[in-house]
Amino acid sequence: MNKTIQKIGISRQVLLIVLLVIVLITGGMSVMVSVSSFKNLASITLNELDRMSKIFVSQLQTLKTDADKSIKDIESHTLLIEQLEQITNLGPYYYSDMSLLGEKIDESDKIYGLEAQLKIVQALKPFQTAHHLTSISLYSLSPFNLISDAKPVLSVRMDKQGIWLGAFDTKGSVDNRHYYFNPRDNFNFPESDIFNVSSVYQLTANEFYKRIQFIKTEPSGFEDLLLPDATKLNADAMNSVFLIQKGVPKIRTQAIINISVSNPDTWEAEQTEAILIVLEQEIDKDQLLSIKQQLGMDVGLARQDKIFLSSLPLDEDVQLLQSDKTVTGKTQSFYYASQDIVFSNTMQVGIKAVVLSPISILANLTQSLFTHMALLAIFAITVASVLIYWAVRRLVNLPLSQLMTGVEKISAGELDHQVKVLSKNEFGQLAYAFNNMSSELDKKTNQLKSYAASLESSNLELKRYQTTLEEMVEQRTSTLKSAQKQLIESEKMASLGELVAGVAHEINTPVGVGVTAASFLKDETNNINKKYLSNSMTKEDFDEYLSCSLQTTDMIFSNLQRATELVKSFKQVAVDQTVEDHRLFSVISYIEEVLLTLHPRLKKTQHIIELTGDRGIELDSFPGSFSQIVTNLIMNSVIHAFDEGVAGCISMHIERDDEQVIIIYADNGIGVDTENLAKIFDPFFTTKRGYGGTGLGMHIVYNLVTQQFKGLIKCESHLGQGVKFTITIPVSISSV
Amino acid sequence: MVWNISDKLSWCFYAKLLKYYFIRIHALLLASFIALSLGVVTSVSATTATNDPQIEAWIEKFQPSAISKVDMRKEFAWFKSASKPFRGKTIKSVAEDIKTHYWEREVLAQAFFDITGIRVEHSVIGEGAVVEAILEQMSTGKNIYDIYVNDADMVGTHLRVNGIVNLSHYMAGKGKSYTNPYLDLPDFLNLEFGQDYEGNQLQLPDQQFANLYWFRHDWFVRPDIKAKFRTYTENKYGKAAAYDLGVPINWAAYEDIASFFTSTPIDGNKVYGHMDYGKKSPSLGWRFTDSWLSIAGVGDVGLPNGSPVDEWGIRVEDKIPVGSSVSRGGATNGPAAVYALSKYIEWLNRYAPPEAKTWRWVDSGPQAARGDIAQHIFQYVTWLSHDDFTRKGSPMLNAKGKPVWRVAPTPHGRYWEKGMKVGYQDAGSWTIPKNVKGQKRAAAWLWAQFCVSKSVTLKKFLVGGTPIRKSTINAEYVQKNKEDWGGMIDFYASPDERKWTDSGLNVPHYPILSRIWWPNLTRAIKGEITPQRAMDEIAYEQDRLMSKMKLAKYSPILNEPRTREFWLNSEGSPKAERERDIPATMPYEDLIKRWER
Repeated sequence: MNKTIQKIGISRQVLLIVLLVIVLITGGMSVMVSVSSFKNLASITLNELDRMSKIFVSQLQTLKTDADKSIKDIESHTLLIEQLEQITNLGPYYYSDMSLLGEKIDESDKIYGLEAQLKIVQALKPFQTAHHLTSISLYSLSPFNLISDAKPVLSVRMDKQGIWLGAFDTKGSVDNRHYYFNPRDNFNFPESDIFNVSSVYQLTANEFYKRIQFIKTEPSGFEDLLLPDATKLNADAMNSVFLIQKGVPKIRTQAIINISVSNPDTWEAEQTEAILIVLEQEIDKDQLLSIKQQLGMDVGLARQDKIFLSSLPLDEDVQLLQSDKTVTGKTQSFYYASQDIVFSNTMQVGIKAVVLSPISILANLTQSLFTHMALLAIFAITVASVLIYWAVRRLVNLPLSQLMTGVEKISAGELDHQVKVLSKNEFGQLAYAFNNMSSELDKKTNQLKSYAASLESSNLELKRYQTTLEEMVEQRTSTLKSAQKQLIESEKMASLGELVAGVAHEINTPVGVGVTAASFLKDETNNINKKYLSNSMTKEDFDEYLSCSLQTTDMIFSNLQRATELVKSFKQVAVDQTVEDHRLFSVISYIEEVLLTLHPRLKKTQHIIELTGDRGIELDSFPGSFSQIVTNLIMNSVIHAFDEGVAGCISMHIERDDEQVIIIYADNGIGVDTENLAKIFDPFFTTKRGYGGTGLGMHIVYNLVTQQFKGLIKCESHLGQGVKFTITIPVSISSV
Repeated sequence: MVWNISDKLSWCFYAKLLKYYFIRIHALLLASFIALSLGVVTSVSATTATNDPQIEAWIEKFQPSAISKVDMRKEFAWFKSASKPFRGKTIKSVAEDIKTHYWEREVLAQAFFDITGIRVEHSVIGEGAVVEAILEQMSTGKNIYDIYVNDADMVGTHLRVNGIVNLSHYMAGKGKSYTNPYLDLPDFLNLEFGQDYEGNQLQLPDQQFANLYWFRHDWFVRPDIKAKFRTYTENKYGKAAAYDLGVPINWAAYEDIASFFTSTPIDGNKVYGHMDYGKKSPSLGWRFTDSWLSIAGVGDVGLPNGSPVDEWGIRVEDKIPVGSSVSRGGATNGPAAVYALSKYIEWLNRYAPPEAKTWRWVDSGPQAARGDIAQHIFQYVTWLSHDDFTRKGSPMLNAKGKPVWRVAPTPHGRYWEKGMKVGYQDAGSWTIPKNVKGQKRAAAWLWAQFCVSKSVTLKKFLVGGTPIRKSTINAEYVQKNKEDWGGMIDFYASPDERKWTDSGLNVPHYPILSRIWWPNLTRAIKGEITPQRAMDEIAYEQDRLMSKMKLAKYSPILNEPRTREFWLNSEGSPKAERERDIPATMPYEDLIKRWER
C-alpha cells in the first residue's frame, strides 16, 4: 500500500499547487505593476513637465528680477547718479530759475551733457551684459514739474542697433531735439582727456559728435519708446510687463529714478523724479535654447494656445495646445505643461510659458518597462519552481520516506530501528520522537522478558525462604549474641594479655639485670674463692672483689626494687581491671598510672600526652573499667590517628561540673570523616583491620561509659582535624 | 634804489593802468555826482525811511568802517533792494582756509542773510581743494559751487580757458542791475591781478596778502647783538668788508644773518636765523611757484611778472607761452632757478629749526611767533593776524602790546635786477564759473560784492589782515594804529607795493602745471636728485604739458629747442651763472622811509 503513495509524490503535488499560485500572483502583480508604473510614469512626466514649466517661468521671472536689480544697482551707483544729475541739470526740462526758461542751451552745457551721456553709456555697459538687457533707455523728466505735461524725452538709449544720444537746444522745450547715433561696432569710448577745461569752451558740440563718431540720425526701431507715457507709473515701484512686439517677446521694466536737483524756488537740492529708465529684455530662440539646456527639455512661448516661439527646430511647426496636455508637431507629438506668465501680479493676457517633452520618450519607456517586467516574471517563476521543488524534496519528501521505512521496519519487528534525524523542524522532531519510541519499545520489551523470568524464580525462592526464615532468624540471633559476647571477652582478654605482655616486658629488664649481676657476682666470688683456696689471693684481688661485689649487689638491689614497684602498680591495674568493685580514686593520678602501663607501647612513638585538670577531682567508680576506657582511647589514637613516624599530641583534660566529671580527650591526628564518625562506636568497626585492630575498642568504650559508668560519650571529628571525645560520667556510681 | 620804478616797461604798464583808472575814475566821478545829487534829495528820506533794524544793527557791528554810517546805510539798503527777487534762496560759495574766510562764513554770511534774505553756505576748505573743485566744475559743467574765492594766480588759466564769467561784461550787461553802485573798483589795491590781457575783470579780489621779509626788529636794534654781528662779519670778510646788522637787501646778507643767529644764542637761548617748510605736500609747490624764482631773479625785467620770461621761467611771447626749458628760451631749469632751489634746500638744512622739514604751509604759518626765529625771508603776511602773533602775552608783542617784529621788502637773489618784480602777493578773488547762470549768478555776484563792500572791508582787514582796498589802508583808524601791523600798512600804502605780484597772466594752466612742482622738489630736498635735475624735470614736464594744451585763447605754442648756450648767452633771461653778491643791509628805519615816501 505504501508504494502507490510514494509514486504520486507530495513534492510534485505541492509544486504544482505552488507553481500555479506563483504564476497567478506573478502574472497579476506584473500586470498591476506595469499598469500602475505606466500611470505613474505618465503622471511623473506630466508633473515633471509642470515643474519644469514653473522653473521656466521662474527663469523668465529671473530676467525680470535682473532688470529690477539693474535698476536698484543704477540707483545706488554714485557715478551714474552723478551723471544722471548732470543730464537733468543740463537737459531741456530743467532750469535753475525762471529767467533761463526759453534760453538757448550753451554750447559748453551741450558738451557737458554729452560727456555725461557718454559716461552713462560706459557705466551702463556692464549692466547690459550682466543682466541680458536688450535695450536701456533713459528719459529726462521735468523735475518739480517745471514744465507741465512734459512727456519723458529720450536722452540716452543703448540697444542692439547701437547708441542713441539726445541733443537739446532750448531750456523748456524739446521741439528742436536731435538724435545722434553710433552703431556700437564703431564706438570707442573717447579718451579721458577729450573733455577738458579748455576743449569744452573752445569747440562746438558738433565737433565733439564728429570726434566720437556719432551721426545725426532720425531715431528708428523703437518708435513706441520715443516719447513714452510715464503718467501711469508709480514712482516707488518698478513696473514690468511681458509683451510681444513684432512677434518678439520681451520683458519691459520701467522705473523712475529720483535725483537730487536744485529746486528753482529755493535753490536747495531736493530729491525729485527726474529720470525714467526703461529696460527691455528680449527673449529669442537662443535664450530659449539656453534655458532648454538648463532644463533638459524643450521650451516655448504660446499665445492663445499657439506656440509662437520655441526651442524646437523650425520645421517642427507644432500645432495648437490640446486640452489633453499634448500637442502635435510635424514629426512627433509632445506632452506639454504650461504656466501663465504673471508679472507685477497682473496676468499678461494669453501668454504662456510652455515646456515640451516628446510622447515617444514615454512610449519607449513603457515598452521597455513591459519587456523588463515579463522577463523578470519568467525568471522569477523558473527560479521559484526549482527552489520549491528542491525544498519540498529536501524538507518533506526525504524525511517522510525515511519515517515510512522506519515504520515499516518496526512493523516488521525490527524494534531497534532508528531513522536519521536530518533537520530540526517538525519532521526532525517527528524522527527524533520516532527513534525514542522505537528504543523505548525495545527496552520495555526486554524488561518485560526479564521480569517474567525473575518473577518465576522469585516465587520459588520466596516459598523456600518462607519455610526456613524463622529457623534461621533464631539461629542467627543466638549465634550473634554469643559471638558478640565472645568477642567482648576476647577483647577483654586480649587487653589483659597485652597488659601482661607489657608488664612482663617491663619487669624483664630489672630482673634480667639482677640475674646478670648475680651471675657476675657468683663468678667473681668463685674466682676469689679459688684464689683464697689456693692461697694465691692477694690483697689487691680481695679489694677488687669487695668493691666489685658491693657494686654488683647495689645493682641487684636497685633492679629488684624497680621490679617490685612495677609489680605493685600493675597489680593495682590488673586488679582494677578484673575486679569490678567501685572505689574512690583520683582521676588524674589514676590516668598517670594507666599511662605508665602503656609506656612500653607508647615509648616506641614520639607522641606527647598532655594531661590537665584539677588533680583533686576524684571518682567513686570502677577504676578497672576506667583504665580500660583510657587505654582504649589512647590505643585508638595511636593506632588510627597517627601515621607511622608522626609525632602526635594527645590531650586529656579533666574537669568537674557539679556531680559530673568531664573528660575531654582529643588528638590532633587524621580525624574521622563524617561517614565513619557515625559508625565509630559500632562493634567491629575499624579502618585498620589486618593491622591488629579488632573493631571493638571503641564499642567497648561506649558500652563501658554508657552501661557501667552510666555516662555519656560523644565524638566530634573532621577529617584531618583530629578527634575529640567528650565523656561525661557521674562522680559517684553509687549515687546513680 | 631798489625801490625805484625807473625802468621803461614798468612805466608803460603803469601808464596803461593809470589810463584805465582815469576812465574809471571819470565814470565814477560822474556816477558819484549823479548819486550825490540824488542823494541830497533822498538822504532825508533815506535816513528816515531805511530804518531797518537789521541794517542798523549790522552798521554798528561793522564799526570801524572806512565809510560813514550814512554811506553804509545806503550801501546796505541797496543790497536789500537789489536782492529782493532772491529772498529765501540759498547759494553756495567756497574759499580757502584762512582767517578772513572763516570770518566771512561766521559773520558776513549772517549779515548778508539778515539784510538780503539770501542764505549763503560759505564753505571753507583747503586751497588745493578749491582749485580742484573749480577745475571740476569747469570741466564737467557740474554746479558744485555758485561762486569761488579763487586765487588770482589762476587768471592766466581763466583767460585762456574761458570757463568763467567775464565780470566786466556781466557788470555792463545782465548783471548791471545787480552791480553795487558803491563798488568803486579803482579803490581796489590790485584789481589788475584779476584782469586778462585786455583788462577785462575776470576775478574780483576778496582778500589779498603779500609775502614779505619778516624779522625780529627788537633783536636787530639791540647794540649787543649788533656788535656781535659786526664781529661775526669782520671774522668772515675782514674789517674792510664788515657790515652792520640790518634788513638784508640781498640773499648774501640774509644768509649771513641766518648763519649768525643760528650759531649765536640770544639771551642764552638757542634761536634760528631762518624759517621755512619742506614737507611733501602741494603747498611745497606754492613755496616755489609763488614767485620764489622771481625773487632769486629767474625772470626778466618788467611788471607784473617779467617779460618775456616770467617768474615760473615760462617764456611768453605776445601772450603765447613758448617754453620753460632753457632750450626753448625759458628759465625754469636755468642757473638762476637751480640757485633758487639750492639756497632753499641749503638754508632749510642749515639755519631753520630741524622740524621745519616736516611742516606744510599751514603748519609753518604761525611758527615765527614761537619766539626763537630771527628772520623769515618768505613770510605770508596773512599769518601775522594769527592769534599766536596777536594774543595778549604773545612773545611777539612788547610791553606796550605792539609787535616786536617788522616786515620789510623781500631781499633779492643774486640774479635779480632792477625793474623786476620784488616779491609775491596774491588776491583770493571772487570767480564765477560760466555754468552758474541766471538768478544764481546774480545772487552770487551780490554776495561777492557784499564781502568786498567798503562798509565791511576795514572790519574784515582788522580780523584777517588781508586788505583789498586803498580806503582800508587810508582809513583814519588804520593810519592811527599802523604800528600794530609792523610795517604792513606802510607797505600797502607805498607805490612799491605794485612790485609784489601774483603768478600772473603767463601761466597758461595753473592747476595742471603747478602739480608738476612739488613731487620733484621733494626728491631734491631728500637729496634723491640734484637741484639741477629737479628743475630739468619740472621744465621738461611743463613744456610737455604746455605742448599738449589746446586752450581757447593764447594757447601755448612751443619754440623749437636750441642749445642751452644760445639762450644763456642771449640777453635777459635765461641768465648765465653769476657770482655771490656782496652782502648788504639797511637799517629798517631808512628802508621804511622809502615806503612812506
